[in-house]
Amino acid sequence: MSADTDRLLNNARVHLPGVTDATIQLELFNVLNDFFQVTNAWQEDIDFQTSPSVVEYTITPTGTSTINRLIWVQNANQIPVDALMPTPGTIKLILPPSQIDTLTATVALTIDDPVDGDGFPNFPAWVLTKYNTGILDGVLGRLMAQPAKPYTNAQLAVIRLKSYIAARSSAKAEVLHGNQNNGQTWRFPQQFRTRGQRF
Amino acid sequence: MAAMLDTVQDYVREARTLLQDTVPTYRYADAELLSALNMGILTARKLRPDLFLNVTTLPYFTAVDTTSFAMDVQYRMPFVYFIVGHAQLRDEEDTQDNRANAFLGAFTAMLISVTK
Repeated sequence: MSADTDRLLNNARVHLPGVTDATIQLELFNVLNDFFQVTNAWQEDIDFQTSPSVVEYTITPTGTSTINRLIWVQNANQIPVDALMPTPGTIKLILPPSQIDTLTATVALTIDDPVDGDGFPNFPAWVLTKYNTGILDGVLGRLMAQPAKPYTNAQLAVIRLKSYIAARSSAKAEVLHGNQNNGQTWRFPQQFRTRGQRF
Repeated sequence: MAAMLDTVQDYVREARTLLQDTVPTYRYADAELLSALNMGILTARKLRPDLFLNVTTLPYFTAVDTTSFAMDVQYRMPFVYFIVGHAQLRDEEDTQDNRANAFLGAFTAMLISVTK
């Protein structure tokens, strides 16, 4: 347990009278899973060796995590290679390779079981440091939305979950821009948009 | 770390204090109070399943002894109230009925709200 997880637990206890630590951890797992699935904030480069004419390869992340999405595949010269991931963890190359090569798949990860001895899932510590208030809002919102608990509060749940979704959207944009300030100022003219993006 | 209401006998002792039944020969037998505790656990499982996370088999106690009853410290007192309320249900006097209802109501209220 780190100082950040300690602070998150303390904040949740203060806002939710009668909550148990195990319930906070249960919802924290749900929030983190949703956060990583939407934002692609947790990425890993995984090298794999290709063989001539073989198009399917299985890759495995290091540590306790599960692959959620394929970002891209590059060869040793950093040239993009067309590939899909029909099921998480299985890379399918569009064109069969003609020679032995080492490719690098950049994948987005999310949390997985088992949790550690303290009941927390394994994930990069910087995520909770950077997005602590957003993740806290998600945990509080989900807990307040539970029925028939001392801390049930439908109105505050809506406010907290809106705040979490805003933080998650902001994180997703930051990941897309590589955490670079002012990375993309152009925006599609909003009067011509055809659909809204709520999540 | 030792805390209040760690064991089955702690719960029964505190219930006997509220029942004014601390001197043998008891008005309410150990077995009756133990049964009330077991039924309280069943009822709590319905009201607050989160109190029994990762518990595959609900606790069931067969003796008033030092067997531990692992419950979050915030939710130990409601079980004492349930034992008292359930024990007093058997009495036929009107005053005891009101008391039983008050204790059973307190049990429910303490589990699902912050009002008690």
